[in-house]
Amino acid sequence: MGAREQELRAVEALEALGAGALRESPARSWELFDCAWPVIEARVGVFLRSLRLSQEFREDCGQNALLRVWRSRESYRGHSADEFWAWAYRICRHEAFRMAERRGREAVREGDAAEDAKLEDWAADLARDETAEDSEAADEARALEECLAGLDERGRSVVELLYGPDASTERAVAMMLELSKSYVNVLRQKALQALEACLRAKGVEG
Amino acid sequence: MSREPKIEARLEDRARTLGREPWLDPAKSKALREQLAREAASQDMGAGTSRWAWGVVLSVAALVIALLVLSGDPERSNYGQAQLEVALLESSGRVLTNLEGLRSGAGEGGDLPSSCLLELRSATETAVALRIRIGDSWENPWRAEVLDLEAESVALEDLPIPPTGLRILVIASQQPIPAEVIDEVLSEFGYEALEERLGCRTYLRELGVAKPADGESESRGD
Repeated sequence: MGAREQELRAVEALEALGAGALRESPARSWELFDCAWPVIEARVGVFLRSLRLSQEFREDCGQNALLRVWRSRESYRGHSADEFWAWAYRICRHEAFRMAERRGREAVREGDAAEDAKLEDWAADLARDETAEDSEAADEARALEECLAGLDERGRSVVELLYGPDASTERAVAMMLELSKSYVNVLRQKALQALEACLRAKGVEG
Repeated sequence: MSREPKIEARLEDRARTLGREPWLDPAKSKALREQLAREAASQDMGAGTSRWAWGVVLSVAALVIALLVLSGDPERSNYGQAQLEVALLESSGRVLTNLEGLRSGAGEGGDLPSSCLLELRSATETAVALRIRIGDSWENPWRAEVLDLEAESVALEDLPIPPTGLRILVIASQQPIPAEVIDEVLSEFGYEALEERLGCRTYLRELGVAKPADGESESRGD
């Protein structure tokens, strides 16, 4: 089976789960959950990134969150993929909160040192070939990360969720953050404008 | 002209870069997936305890809890009288259902009556967590959605108590306590330590549970 076909099957399985198959028998729901796993895993990663968790903590928290999503499936009451994501997001958020309470909140958020290290890594990856073009790209990438880090918490969450590796719809983000869709749109526009201004201030040209 | 499309393009580039690097180690992802597959298979095999039976067990348990809490020793309990909110949580910690006040129609002094009555009342801010123990394992109780909130009365003699017995533990506190914190205390220190360590009130009732013989310690925890 080709990668594209697998991807389509995963999305179809996710839609079926969101429509209510998650509450079906363990065998049936697992069949779909397993099929949709790559999509679910990727999106959980985005959720945790939007919560600004450190890389190390993200991995621990993510595994627990994936367990809880499966084990809590009978509590799911939605009827669509967006509702499924909103539900899964809440589980991730609660899991992050729970682990943060236990480990100490500061230990799990992206602190300055962790953030700097991550930016250095990413910039280094981009500039691996040491060409002038790559170096410029690395500088721009670093500037973008710094600007993202400077957004307010809600704006950062909206951007991470809407522009993550596996992007959510505005409707889904509205459900996740328990905001209206129009307000999410406002937050999105404001965040983009803030990023634009920030990048301009750092000398990054459009 | 707006530069937002440029910003969006940058963010999309960033997403592609991030998407190429899995956030979860593939080996851990595989192990987790296999673990869940095994769980699903075992749950499927155990489907003999049908869902409706669980629903009945949990429904009745909720009613019993209401009775236990409200008929408990009033000097010991802050939650013993007319109005009480029972906040039932799912495993993620989210409040799923507020049973806005429960009142028993029978029973004094903590004895279990043959039936009890559920009424919805106005809310207060007390949180009560529920754990049900069957046999030797503490089952995750945070499944309030299964409770039949429409039920008005249930006869206890109709409870499908398993051969190993049914244990119902109520944990009442001013704030919800994470399930895993409860698990830790239960497994490390036992039921008796819950109140002291978590600052909560607990009520334990056992139905059809064989008492250990003298000198035989009762196993606790998962």
